[in-house]
Amino acid sequence: MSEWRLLSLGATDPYVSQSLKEMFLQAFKRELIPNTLCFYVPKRHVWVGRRASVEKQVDLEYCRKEKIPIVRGLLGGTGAVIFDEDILDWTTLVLKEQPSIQDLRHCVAEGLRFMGLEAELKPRSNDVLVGDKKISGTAIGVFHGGFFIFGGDVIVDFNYDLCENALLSTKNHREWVTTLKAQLGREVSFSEVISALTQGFETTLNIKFDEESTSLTEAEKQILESLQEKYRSEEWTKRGRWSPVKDYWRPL
Amino acid sequence: MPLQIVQTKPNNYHFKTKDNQRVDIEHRNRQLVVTLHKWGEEASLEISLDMVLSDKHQFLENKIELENEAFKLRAYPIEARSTSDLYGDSEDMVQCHEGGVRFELVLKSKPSVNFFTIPIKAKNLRFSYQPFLTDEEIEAGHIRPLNVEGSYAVYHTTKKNNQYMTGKAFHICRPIAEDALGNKAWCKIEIDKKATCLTITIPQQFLDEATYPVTIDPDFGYTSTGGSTRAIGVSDAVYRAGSAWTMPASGETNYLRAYIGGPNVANCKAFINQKDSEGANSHGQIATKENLNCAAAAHWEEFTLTGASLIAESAYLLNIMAFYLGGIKETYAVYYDANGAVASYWESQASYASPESPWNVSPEATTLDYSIYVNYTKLAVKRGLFKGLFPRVIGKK
Repeated sequence: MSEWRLLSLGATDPYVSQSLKEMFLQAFKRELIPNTLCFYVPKRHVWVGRRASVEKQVDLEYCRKEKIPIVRGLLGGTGAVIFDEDILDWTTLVLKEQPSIQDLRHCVAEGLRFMGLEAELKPRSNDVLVGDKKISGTAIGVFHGGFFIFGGDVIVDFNYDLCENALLSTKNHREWVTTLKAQLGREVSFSEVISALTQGFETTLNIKFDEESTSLTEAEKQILESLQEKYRSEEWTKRGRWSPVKDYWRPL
Repeated sequence: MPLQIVQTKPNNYHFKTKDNQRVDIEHRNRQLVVTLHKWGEEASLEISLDMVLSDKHQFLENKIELENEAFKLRAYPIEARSTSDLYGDSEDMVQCHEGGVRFELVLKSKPSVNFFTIPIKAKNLRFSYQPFLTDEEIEAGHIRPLNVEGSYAVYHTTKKNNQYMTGKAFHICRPIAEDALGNKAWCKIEIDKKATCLTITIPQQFLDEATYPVTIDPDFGYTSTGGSTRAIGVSDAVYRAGSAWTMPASGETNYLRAYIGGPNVANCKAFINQKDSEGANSHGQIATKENLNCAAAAHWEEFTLTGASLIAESAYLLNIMAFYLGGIKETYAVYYDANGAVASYWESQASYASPESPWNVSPEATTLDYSIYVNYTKLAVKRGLFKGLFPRVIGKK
């Protein structure tokens, strides 16, 4: 039974929360960290997927007026999600095929079952459902060198009004998104969800977590700092393209 | 195992790429001359740089180096790498799969001009420029790493399939200029229409502000796969893509291979259609095969297609579609290079359950070389046929 590191960072800055995945990838590639599961609660922002069109997904005027940051993530497709300190996010970084993609998704459903919910994986989707409604979204990145990044969120509570105002989606979020609070009919703490998901990972993957830590290593903090320029840049946010190499030739 | 340079004569060196192709490095006429061979002696690319001349060279740490007052010029092997490792690209696409050679120029001080020209000699090679992606292409699911934008894919002028695979020999990536403080800028490369010289231009502003020395790193990578990707399947749509090719000889198919991948697994169908066999832009299907659970990581997927007849001088469309099994709004993709040789085809509303047959589709406005090829056995010329018939004819007389 292998031992993984467990991290819980609490409420995090939007740019930091979206750059954690790339930080873990870089740290893991440099063999600075072991397999890690990290939980955090992103502060208010709009997340757009790796391939999303910001103009088509987000009400830019509303976000500007309300000073809501828009941050592009490393993973995900063409969608967008609103965070408002009510969603628990996580990032897992593992060697490819150890475990499989499907196993990783089962960890989430299994964790939610520990909370007494009938959670199921939606076929041909990254979503985890409870009673036909989305309660969790996941995303996976496969990277050169045999690495998986598995990220996702569990919707503890949800600001439907903010979602309707900030996103241009025509979907009725009240109909297809549910929350732990609604499903369990009570307040739910983040620590309770972390405990359940941790059990889900341990049971499904036959692993054991070491004692929960609440801070990153110095090396991780340094990498995270170096990534802030990218995640805060207009080029990354608008076009999903960025490198530390300056481009004088790109057509405007 | 790292690619190692071997010295054969005082001024002659070589190394072998992972696919056993030979790269010669020679100190000739006071210049450093590098020759990349592909498919034995079938195709080659020779590069040199006459602005760096020296009577002496050094062979140190697996690098050959010439030096004069203003410059250093080095040639050395490079390994397969990802765009993330090379320059921090979030796309993380693998390049130079079989290794390659870096032809590295070091500017000791600010040069009088911001460009330098590498004379090239190409044998049986076609150079295809890879333009910058437009916003529309990005939105439509195309992915092109930053060092592929403004680069050149190098293909055999006339051959592909069997041992030539996609026909791609090399990829000349867009170089990076880096100063002594680690500041970096993309350079521009341009190959003239006659393919006699490759010009590298460094941004003048970068040269003005740089702390010297400045290093420029053009890479000539060996690969058979395209440098860009295009979606062939998402969770709620199926796309069908392929390129046309005229068969030089008749034969029977063994298999078709496509270079594909995505964030999760996909079921894929590969097809061979005969171009315009059912009328203009109506391509009759001659073979198809489905592979289930094709891997997520980029790979060559092999579809067994045994015994389909291919006719000499007829054109065929090798094409593929995917039923993506992963999440919403993710894409499963096929690799390609822009500005291809013949014609390419794309269907945006394909049916995976009931693929169109014949495939009715017009060529794309911009031709793409999809990384799909077929392996076939050439039909032997039956020399005995006439021998067998002739005596009987004579006998009747």
